[in-house]
Amino acid sequence: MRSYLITRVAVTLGMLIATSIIVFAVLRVIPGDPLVTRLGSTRGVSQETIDHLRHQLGLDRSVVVQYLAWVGGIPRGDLGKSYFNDYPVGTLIGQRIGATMELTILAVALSVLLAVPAAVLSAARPAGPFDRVMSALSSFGMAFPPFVAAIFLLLLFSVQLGWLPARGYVSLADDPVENLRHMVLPAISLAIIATPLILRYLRADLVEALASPYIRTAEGKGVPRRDVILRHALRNALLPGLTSVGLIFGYTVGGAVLVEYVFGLPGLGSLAVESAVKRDYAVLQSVVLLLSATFIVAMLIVDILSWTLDPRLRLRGAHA
Amino acid sequence: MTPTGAGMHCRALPSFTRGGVFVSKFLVAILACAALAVSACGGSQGNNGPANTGNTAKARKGGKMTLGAASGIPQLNPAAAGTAFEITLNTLLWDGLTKLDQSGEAAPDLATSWQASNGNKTWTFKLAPNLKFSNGKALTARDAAKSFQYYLDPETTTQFKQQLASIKSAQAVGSDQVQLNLKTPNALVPKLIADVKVLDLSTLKSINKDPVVTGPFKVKSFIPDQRLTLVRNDNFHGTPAPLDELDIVRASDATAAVTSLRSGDLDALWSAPPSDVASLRSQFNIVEPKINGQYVSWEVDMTSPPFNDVRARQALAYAIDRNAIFKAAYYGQGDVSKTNTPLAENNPWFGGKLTNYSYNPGKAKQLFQAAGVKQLTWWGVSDQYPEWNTSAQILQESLKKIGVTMKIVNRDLSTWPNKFYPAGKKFPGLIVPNFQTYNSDPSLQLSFLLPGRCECNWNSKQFQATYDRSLSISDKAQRKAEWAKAQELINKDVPIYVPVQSAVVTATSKKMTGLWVDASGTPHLEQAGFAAAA
Repeated sequence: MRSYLITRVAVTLGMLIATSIIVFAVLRVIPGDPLVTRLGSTRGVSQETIDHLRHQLGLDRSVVVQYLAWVGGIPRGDLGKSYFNDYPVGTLIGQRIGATMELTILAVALSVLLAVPAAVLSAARPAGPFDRVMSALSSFGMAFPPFVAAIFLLLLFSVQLGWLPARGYVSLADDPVENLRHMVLPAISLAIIATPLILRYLRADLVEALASPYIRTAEGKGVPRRDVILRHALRNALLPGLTSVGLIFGYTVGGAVLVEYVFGLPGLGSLAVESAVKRDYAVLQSVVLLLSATFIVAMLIVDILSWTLDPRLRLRGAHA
Repeated sequence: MTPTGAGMHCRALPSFTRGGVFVSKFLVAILACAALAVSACGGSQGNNGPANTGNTAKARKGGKMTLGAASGIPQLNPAAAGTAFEITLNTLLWDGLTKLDQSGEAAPDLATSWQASNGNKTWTFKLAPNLKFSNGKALTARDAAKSFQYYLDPETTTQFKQQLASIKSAQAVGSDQVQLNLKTPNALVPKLIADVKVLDLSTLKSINKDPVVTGPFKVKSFIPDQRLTLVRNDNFHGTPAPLDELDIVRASDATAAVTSLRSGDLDALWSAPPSDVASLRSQFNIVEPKINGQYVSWEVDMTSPPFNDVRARQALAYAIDRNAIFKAAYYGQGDVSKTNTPLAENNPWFGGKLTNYSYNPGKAKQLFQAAGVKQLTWWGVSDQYPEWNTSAQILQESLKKIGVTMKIVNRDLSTWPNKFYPAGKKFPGLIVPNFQTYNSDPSLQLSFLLPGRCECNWNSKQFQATYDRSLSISDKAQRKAEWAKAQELINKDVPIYVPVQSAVVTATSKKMTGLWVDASGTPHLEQAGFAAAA
């Protein structure tokens, strides 16, 4: 167990370091200058002023020095400051992370609520009418860009019917009801990505589980079909499904960037978009790294959980 | 000159100029200064004319209003304000010695009166009594003088430097007077300093987190580029704001902003897209400047071929089908500039013997041939400004008819300025679209063309001298004649292209009242609120 953990954590750390280098390098390669963007609307600025500001922000140092200064600050919680308002990047992320987390949790919860019953019903009669409809719908859902869904929902429920707000965010602590009203449409938009994924993974695992000898044994012992599916097949099918959680999480966070932007949610996604447009590297590199790190760490947790919960994996590991 | 962020406005430099009002407790002083007020400040008839105010009913006390825009507020320091939408905060959070009233004239703000001496080279401002910052700390003349020193400091990057160029120093005189010492005579000081806000400089480091302010509102919370929530400032020296709370939010783009307005999430939308204005009129109040202070400015490099030849510049001026651009790209919102000058024709300072540059393909062809111009490039921005693309296509067609090809190149907003910004760069053969936002006084509108400011690299000493002379003249008629000369120079030399003066429109729900816009299109919400019946 210990050697597995050490190996897995070491790989994760290596991935994080590699990600930080890639993120940093890519942002420096893309064209654009944050200072020109920052000062662009200021008339009469001389090249000397631009150079002076560049020095103040440390942008005249070598790329390697800038990289080391950035990663060196991470263990201390110092991610640098925005080039545009001197806000510590940590504070900017802190202001936005709540909305993204809430959106992601609501979207995944909604997806699970929709996908699990649908997967069970589909797997109960593979190739049946319900399964075929679900298969078509999930294909459609996976191919449907979340921002298109967001715009449709927005036009229908906000503009035409006026039932729900078109944009904005109210924190849960300030007003739980308003918070929920503002989150309904973004969560549905995002769930459109996650639901088909969960449905497909779970259905496949259920179909496989239902074809297993222990299911035949249970059925032979006279266990009702409903109990066979819910107590035996579903419980076993959920375990391999764990590995897909990291993937689904990644998709959801990726989709959140667009959905937040469409609905004007002050989350990490919209922060990333704004920073990218302005070339605020200081903010953008930390946000991208945080999102990547979340995905990588989620995969690590899933792997460790699977390894702990599934004796077959441990056995395979021991044999290896 | 480049837009910061994804906002609608590249250049948002609301600088304001207008006549000053001399206010004094003493009759003698009033009489003595009355003439000065009229002459030094251009008269109180208003250079800008009254703004369109939408609903005029008095706002009831209380309520929460949401103002939206397609651009965000990235920071709160008034000196560092770069985009047009940021300027909205200038009168909500901050006060200067003077401010601009609805007619565009200088009015008392923190200062109750002011007086010029030494041939308009020394200006003394008297502060109102018992002024306080939002944190309860007393505001003194020393704070005001230090704020001027901060704006004038070479280390401070502020777009308002040009307005303050004539000021040599600022000092406190006693506890309640501020004296500005000028390098050259300037009759427009009360107007030009309206954008200098008095700050508590000891708290400058935390200005983006917990700003200590002087205006009718103070900051409750701020998420840069997303949301700024303001609440009433109980230490404000003037008439308290009717609203309890004012939310200033960002929509992801212009379409999303209009959708939010239509769905009722926004009470007001600043800078409504021209394409939507007509359809919004039936449901919303449309508040727009009477005189448009925003002008479209296409820039070319006057120091490299082909536009170092005045014939090429004049040819392009004749090749622009201004009416077609006005209708198709700007949906008829604003004014056509036939004389290719920044000032709109209904601006009281518009004038001079100006050549009419209305669309004339024959003349354009003749001049282009004489200058040997066959190929040009449009250097624009993708996505952000649909009106620029439409304008480019119209221009491309017009040029094609007279044998000049124009390639349209659009770049990302953050890479687009690298070719031509800051001023001094060479960009031969490129036509760079942009726009400038000012209040309507020529001291501001024309200041963009001073050496070192316009990327067109027009370094005209004659224009600079005419501009400086205009500032020093107290008599309105004489000053108007001098501004006419400045416009004639622009008209003749064609340093930039002004196809239209575009309207910056704010749309508000019918229940809103008390909101007005100045000539630059900046909305003023100091006394905005909900109508009593709402």
